[in-house]
Amino acid sequence: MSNEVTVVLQDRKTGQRRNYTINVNNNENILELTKSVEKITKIPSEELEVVFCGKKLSKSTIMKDLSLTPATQIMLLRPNSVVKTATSSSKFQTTDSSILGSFYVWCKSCDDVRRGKLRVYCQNCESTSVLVKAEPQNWMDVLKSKRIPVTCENCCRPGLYAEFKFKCLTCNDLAAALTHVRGNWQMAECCICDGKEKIIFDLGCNHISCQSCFKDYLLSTLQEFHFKNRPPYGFTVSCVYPECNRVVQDVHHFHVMGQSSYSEYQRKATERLIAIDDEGVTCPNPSCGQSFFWEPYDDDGRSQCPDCFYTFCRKCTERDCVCQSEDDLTRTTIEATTRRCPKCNVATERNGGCAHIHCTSCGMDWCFKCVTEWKEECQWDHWFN
Amino acid sequence: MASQLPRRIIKETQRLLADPVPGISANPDESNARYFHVMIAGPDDSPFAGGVFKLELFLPEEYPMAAPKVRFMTKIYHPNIDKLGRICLDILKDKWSPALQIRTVLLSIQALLSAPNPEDPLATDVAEQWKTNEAEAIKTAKQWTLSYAQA
Repeated sequence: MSNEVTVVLQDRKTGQRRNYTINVNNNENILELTKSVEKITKIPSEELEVVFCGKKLSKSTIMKDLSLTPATQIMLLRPNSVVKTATSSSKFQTTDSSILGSFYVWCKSCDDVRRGKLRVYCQNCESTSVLVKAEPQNWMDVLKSKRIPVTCENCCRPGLYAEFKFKCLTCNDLAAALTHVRGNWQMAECCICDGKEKIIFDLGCNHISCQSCFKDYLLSTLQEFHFKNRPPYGFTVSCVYPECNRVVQDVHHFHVMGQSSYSEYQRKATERLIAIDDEGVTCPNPSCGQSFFWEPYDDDGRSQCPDCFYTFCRKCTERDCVCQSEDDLTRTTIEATTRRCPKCNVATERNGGCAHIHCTSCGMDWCFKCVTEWKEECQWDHWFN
Repeated sequence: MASQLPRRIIKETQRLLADPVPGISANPDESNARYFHVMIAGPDDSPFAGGVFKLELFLPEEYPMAAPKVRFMTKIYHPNIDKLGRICLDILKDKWSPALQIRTVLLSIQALLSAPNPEDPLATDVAEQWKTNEAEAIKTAKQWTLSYAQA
């Protein structure tokens, strides 16, 4: 199978930069690519260095391992003075397998978990003509900015850093990295269904589950919104394994629930977040219900919903404020029947059971009688009221 | 059954029958594979020693995303089990995890018989007795075992 690729030639000897479109066979290696370039440019192939994804490629790298598409650019560098490539490139030489990677992404276009590929760009000019000065060692190195320094052959500025992007191996669109998804290389059993699937979810604790069980687990968590607020990750779930406290660190994993459930998750998580924030409010218009933050400055106690433009008093939630009048029964009732969680401040009603409250919003265990953390004293003295 | 039985339930059932937990038996009902007849022998180190307790266990449609429903059929004097046989056990409620199984649930119930927890009571009268006069409570538990839990 052959493929057209765009080759950008940076000739330092002559100071020229040229683009070529070259037909390559997927089973050819890099040496053969440089030979093809030699035919067109008459530059001896041994003077050419091939740079891709921030690395100098070894001459034996097979083209198909680079997962090229017609949009991919490969840079060929002809250095000023020819040094034997074997010694000059050794500094950046690594195994080429890390370019393809064995990681997975959430691809919006495919609407599924897919194998991903990592691409490297210059953070300043977005060119792919970059060479990394250090290998990324972990997820943070590629997810956070300004971790991996590069030299860029395009803009040549000092102090540059790499910008990493993830793409779907199937459709080549940009995609979100899924750090908790990996290949099941030990062919271990899912701890929920005992099945042995190729792609598994692992929150870093080795308690693995297959995609279908993980999806069911998320959907059942969504049903009564048992997602817990765990800053800095936001509303998330812990590992399926009992007593394991590892949590999903990136909400992109929740996409496996499907689009409508993911939207429901986002809406409910926003509502919860706003409910526990002093500057958050939910629109009382029955046909709206949008949650939003109000501007604390220049405040007269009234807010306008950014979605439906309904204006209301935040205290009594009425269009025409009734805070001063005597028919403010709802407010009084709520104040009288609820107590606020000592950690997240959410209004909590106790409609039965013991005084031990487990907050469904933040997960705090507190005593409805003392309105403080649940202590041994509460266990003995406040249980039966 | 209208819906097909999930592979996991079939595997769990096979394992329960082929490799039973000591002191526990669990057999699926002939007409409903989600309903189990369970027998737990009272642990030797507990006031329930010598008794055999009958329980029923049902796997709801959502299982294993939702916990099995378990209930004592035999009358028992225990601070975490009420008159109706309902059991106060965290893993049957908010601490349920789909990685738990019928086997682990039954083992936890067996452990609960060895170690009653009056600080998390369901039968409040029994719990009060257990806290204020443990010796008397254990005596009552032994009597109930003799009267109601004989195979």
